[in-house]
Order: sequence, then structure tokens, then C-alpha cells
Amino acid sequence: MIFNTWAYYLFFLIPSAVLFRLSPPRLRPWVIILGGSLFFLFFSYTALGGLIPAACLGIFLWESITSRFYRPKFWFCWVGVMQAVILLFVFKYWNFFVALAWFHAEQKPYWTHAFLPLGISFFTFEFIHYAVDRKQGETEAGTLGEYLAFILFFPTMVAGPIKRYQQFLPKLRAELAEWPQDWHRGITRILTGLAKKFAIADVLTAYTNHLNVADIAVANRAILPLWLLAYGMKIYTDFSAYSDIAIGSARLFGIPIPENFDWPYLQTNIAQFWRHWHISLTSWLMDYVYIPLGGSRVSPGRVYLNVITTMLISGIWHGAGINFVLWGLWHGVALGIHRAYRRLRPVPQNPPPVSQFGSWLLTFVTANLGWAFFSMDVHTALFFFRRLFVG
Amino acid sequence: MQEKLFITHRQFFGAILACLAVLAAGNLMVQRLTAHTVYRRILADTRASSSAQIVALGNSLMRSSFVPETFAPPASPHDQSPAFNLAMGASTPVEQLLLLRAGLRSFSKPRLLLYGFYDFQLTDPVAFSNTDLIGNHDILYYEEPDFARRYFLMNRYESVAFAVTRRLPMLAERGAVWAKVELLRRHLGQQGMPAEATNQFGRAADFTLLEAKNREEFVQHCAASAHAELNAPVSEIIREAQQQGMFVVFIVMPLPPKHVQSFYDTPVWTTYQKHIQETLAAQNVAYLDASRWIPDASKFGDALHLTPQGAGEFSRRLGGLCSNSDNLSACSSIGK
Amino acid sequence: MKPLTWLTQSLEFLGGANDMPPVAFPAITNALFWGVWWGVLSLVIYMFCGQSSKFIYIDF
Repeated sequence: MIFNTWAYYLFFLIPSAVLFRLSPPRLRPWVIILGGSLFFLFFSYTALGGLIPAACLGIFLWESITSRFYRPKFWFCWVGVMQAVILLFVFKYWNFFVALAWFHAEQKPYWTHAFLPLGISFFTFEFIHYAVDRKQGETEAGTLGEYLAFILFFPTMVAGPIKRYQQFLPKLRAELAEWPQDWHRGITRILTGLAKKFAIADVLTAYTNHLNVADIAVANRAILPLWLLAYGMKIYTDFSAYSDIAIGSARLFGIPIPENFDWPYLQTNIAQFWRHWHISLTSWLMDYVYIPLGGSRVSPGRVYLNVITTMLISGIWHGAGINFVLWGLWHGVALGIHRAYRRLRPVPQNPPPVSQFGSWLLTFVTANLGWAFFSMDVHTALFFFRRLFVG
Repeated sequence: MQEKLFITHRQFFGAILACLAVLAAGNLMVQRLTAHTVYRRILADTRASSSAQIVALGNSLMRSSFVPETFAPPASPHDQSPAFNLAMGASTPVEQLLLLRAGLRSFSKPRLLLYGFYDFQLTDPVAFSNTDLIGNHDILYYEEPDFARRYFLMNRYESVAFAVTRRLPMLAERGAVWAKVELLRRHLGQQGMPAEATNQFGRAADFTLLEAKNREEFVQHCAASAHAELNAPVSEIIREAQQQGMFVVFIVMPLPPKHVQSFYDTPVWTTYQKHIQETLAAQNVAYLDASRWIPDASKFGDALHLTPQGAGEFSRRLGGLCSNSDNLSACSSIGK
Repeated sequence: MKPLTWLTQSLEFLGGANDMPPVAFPAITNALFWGVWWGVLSLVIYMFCGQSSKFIYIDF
């Protein structure tokens, strides 16, 4: 993890944020570009092991050059989309694809030294967003420096939130607010995120480390629900902590970043859960997968297919494995069932407390049962459910 | 209507100062709560044992195996044993050297040093970065830090980190605080699971991590160390002990039959042992192979450490061999 | 305001996610309050941040 290193705060965040504040407006994007480039090089070299991961900085430079050719209604924008998809496929999914496609072969063309460039799952989605929105005329081009600052903004590079250019650009150009306010709230947010990560998420690994076949086999059955709930709480506090630190870091620059989690476990239906969990990803999937597929404007059967397809892509985005596909399918089916139920029984105006509690409980249990597929491979997850429900 | 929070420069810097004050208070609290850590207790015992003549030194194997009162029973119930256990768990030769130096400042008539080791501890290089200095390694922050630093490989960043860390108890004693959290996690992790065996040092199962993974790895290590010199702190231990007139005996500590059969019953280990014995003999150091002294596996609590019963047996036998000052050279033997 | 909403908004305010405190929660600008809060969070981080350390010996 990068956010728990002294290097991040002492060498990158504080110097960059101070320099950003002291720089004249026309130089500010270049401060972010310099900080982001050094950040990428340093952590790629030290955390990913070597020069080749660090050389992937070239991806950003290439993207910034090709982005200059995007124009409204211009076919070249699709080239931008395709190159982002190809990057993601090659680095993240090649070995998964090979395992499936060459299932029976003895010799499989695995990429044996595969690595993931820092933040690839996030920056490729930002590349796609920019290319599509430029084609649809929904965002201005901005200058080369402004676009590079957008993609190299290091607080959100590694773990999101996935930004939108049309929200980022005005903030980059805006006059900065008084720094004590931003630094006070930014520091508070960063400290809160770190405390959440270490004192809650990491402590819960005491339970979640047991989610393997050997331990599930010998454990007392009564502890199994606790382990799964602990995973649900751990992944929430872990991921929301990263978002806290990213948003707090951005605040030091005076650049507000949209929230990524909004009390998802307090929601009373699965659709609301997904509007409050990893908000930037959900809205990206809505805008660039669900709506282009037709969204809700097609036949009911197609709508359910669109929902499930969107959630399958969400699952695969999270990890290259069949278990992630099943996790996506779990939520796709849950969303479909919720949609069908709401068609039959619209939301009541003032639901009684018992009904609200029941809805909350059902949503909470559905979300947490799904984590079994997220946290374990398929075989282990099925074994877990067998022990949990059957014995 | 609620007012939005608005922070001025003064309020911001005031908050920073208040935060630093809280951290300073935390620093003092950690300093007080860690006043009796393991190495501090050992040094305090050292200062109270000025009459000790026979000193046992080493890591947790010697710590758990050497019982002074069994090795050399005191002349009367009110007297102290002339033997003293200066060994410390989770220590390397550098910490052991510092403990020896502290002991030599306290002991009035030290005459015999019994240094316990296993596997390749005499020849494996010892090098620390600042992040390694947790747990009992933190003695290096306090006890003659400038002397100990010759065994570090520190770049400028590490040097600064070391200098800052050793002046702040919160940082220097971070291992002690983290250990409490680790114990909490282990307690949580144990819920609903079969009980796991523990001993005075930790979880019994963890100590297999301090052995070679398999015979192949061990044989490779032997081959690589076949002509290795003693590492610098071990050489310094010998030099300092002999300078005080002590007779020095290096002991291969008793190990479970599984370890002996897997690793020590190999030609490469015999070759390595011979090399070590010759190297030590050249420095007038006796060598004693006690690795097979306890063939009963039930007298070991984990992959490395003896139970109290096993420790008593080892100490009694060692005492019979080495506590007689007229026959110290009888301590030297291989494979008995 | 519902108690749960008040609680979540208070936590957001204390956590730096919201610059606006909820109703009946003072807009604390007091340096001492925030400094102590930062100190407490820092101490919590300090205590719990060592969990990636591999403890074999835990007798100290």
C-alpha cells in the first residue's frame, strides 16, 4: 500500500501540494504532472520491482498525445477507447483469458512475468471516459497540460475515485480557497482514513485470514458468519479509507474530489447500495456500459440483461477470476430481482419501521453473502456455504 | 441555520501544536509503559549479579534451555548460582555482544562463557536497517548505539531515521506496542478455532519458520557457508570475553530429533561443523556439539526450544561437563 | 433529524468529509479540540500500523 508510507507524504504529497499553492495558475497543472510522474516512477520502481513497470509512464504520455486528436463525432475517439481496453486486457486479463481459451492445451501462452502498471484499472477508465465524452461533445478538450494533470493526479491514481474531466477541469482552473481551511479538512480526512484502515480493516484480517479451506474445515460453524461479516466490514473500511486518503490528499491541493462511499451498509435496497458503494465506479458503469446498452429504455427482458451485463463487467473489473464473475452475477441477479419486485410493488410513501428494518436486513445480508465469492475462489466459497448452511 | 466550519491560520497552527502536545504525552506514556522490557530486565539482573562467574549467552534457545541453578547449584540456599543466563530471545549476535559488554562491566570475576547457537548463526552476516529494529532488537537504540552501528549498513536516510527514532520512545519502542495489537489479533483469530500451542516466546508453530524449508535449502546453505568466516559480532564476542580472561565454549544447542535427522545427519553439515570447529580452535575457543543430547521429542515445546523438563536435563548435563573449573577443556567435543 | 442521520453527519464532520456540522452540533473551530482529535487519531494509527510486521517472537 502506498498511502501508508512516509515517502508518499514527505516526498510527494506535501511538497506537491505546497508547490501547487505557491505556483501561478498557468504552472499549476505542470506541478501536478511533475509530482504525478515522479510518484508513478518511484512507486512503480520500488513497489512493482524495476524499470519496466516504471517505463509504463510512457502510457500516459502516449494517451496525452492521442487525446489531442479527439473531437466531437470523430471516429478517432474510438481508437482511444480501444487502446485503453487493449491495455487493460493485455496487462490484467491475458493470463485469465489464456487459462480459459487454452483450457485443454498442455502448453499455454502465459505471460510469465506479467505485472500490473500502477493504477491501470483506474486510469484506463479515465481514458475511456475522456474519449467517449469528447466524442459526444460532453467535455471540452482542455490544454495538453490540463489533460496530463487530470490523468497524472496522483492522489487518485492508485485506487480512485475515478474522476470526470468536466468536474476536475473547473477545479484545476479555479482560484484556490484559503489554504488553512483546505489543509485542516484534508488532514482530518487523511488521518481518519489511516485510522480506519489500520484500526478497523487490518484488525479484521484476524478473522478474514481464516477464509481458506483448511481453516473453514476445522472451525466451529458458529464463527463462519462472523468471518464473512468481518470481510464485508474489512473491505468497506479498507476501500473507503483509501478514498478518504485520496480525497483528503486532493483537498490539500484545493481540488475537491467527489465522494466514493456514502454509508452503503445503511441502505434499504440493493439498488441504493450500489448508488452508495464505490460511487465513481457505479456511475462510470452506468454512463459507459448500462446506458450505451440501452439502459432502461428497452424491453423489460433487455433491461435485466443490461443490468446483469453491467454487473458482470463490474465483477471482472475487480479481478481476473471466475469468482469475481460470479460475484458480479450475484449482484446482477439481486438487482434484477429488486427491479422486478419494484415493478410489482412500488416503494411505499412511509414504510413502517419493521418493514424498513426488514429491507435493510435483506440488503445487508445479500451484500455480505456476495462477498464470499469476492474473497475466495469458487471451490472455497462453495465449501464455505456448505459448511455454513449444511454443516 | 448551522454555520459552515471556517478555519483561520491561527486555528490551523494551534491545532497542529495541540496535536504535537498529545503526541508528546503519548511519547511519555510509552516510555513509562516500556520501562521493563526484556532487555532492560536482563540488564537489571546483570547489575544485581556481580558475583556471576559462568555466563550463558545466545538467543532464545539458550534463554529457554539454560537453568543456572541446575547447571551450577549455589553453595547454600541463600546464595546466588555462580552461573548467569545472559541470553535473550529474538536476538542476533549484535545484541548478544552488547549484552556481553554490559555483563563484563558488572561481573567481577567472569571465567567461563557458554555461547549457544544453531544452524548458521555464527557465519550468516548480520546487517540491520532501521525498520528491523523492533522487539528485542531495540536494545540497539539504547545500549551503546554508536558502538553497535558498525554492524549496520546505513545510508544517509537510514542514519537520519535511526538518529530520530532512538530519541523518541514512541518510535524506538514501537515493536512493544505493536506486539500488544498482534496479541489482540491472535486472540480474535483464535475464536472458533482449535486452540494453538504457545510457549513463552509465542506460537509454537511459528518457530518452524526459523528452520530451513527443506533439506535442499539447508544443504545449499551449508555449501555456501563451507568456508565462511565468523561474522563480525561473533568474532568480537570471542575477543571481548578472552580479553577479560574468560574461557569460551561455543555450543550447538539441543534440537528436536526431526531437525537433527533432516539437517544435521548430512555430510555437508559435518563438513561445515568441522570448518567451524577449526576456526574456533584457532582462536582458542572450545566447541561442543549438544545437538543430540535430548533425543526425546516430547522434551521440546516447538521446532527449536526445550520444555522446562528438557532444559533441566540439558543444564544438568552441561553443568556436569563444564562447571568444573579444572577441566574446562573437557567441554570441547563433537557428536557426543 | 433522525438520530441515525445525525450520527452519520456528525461522523462525517469529525472525519473531514463534511465542512457543515449537523444541527445541534457546534461548528467547532477550537484549535484545542481538533488538535486533540488529530492527536488521538495519530496515536491510534501509531498503535495499529505495525500489523504488517511478522511476529515470530512475541515475548517483549
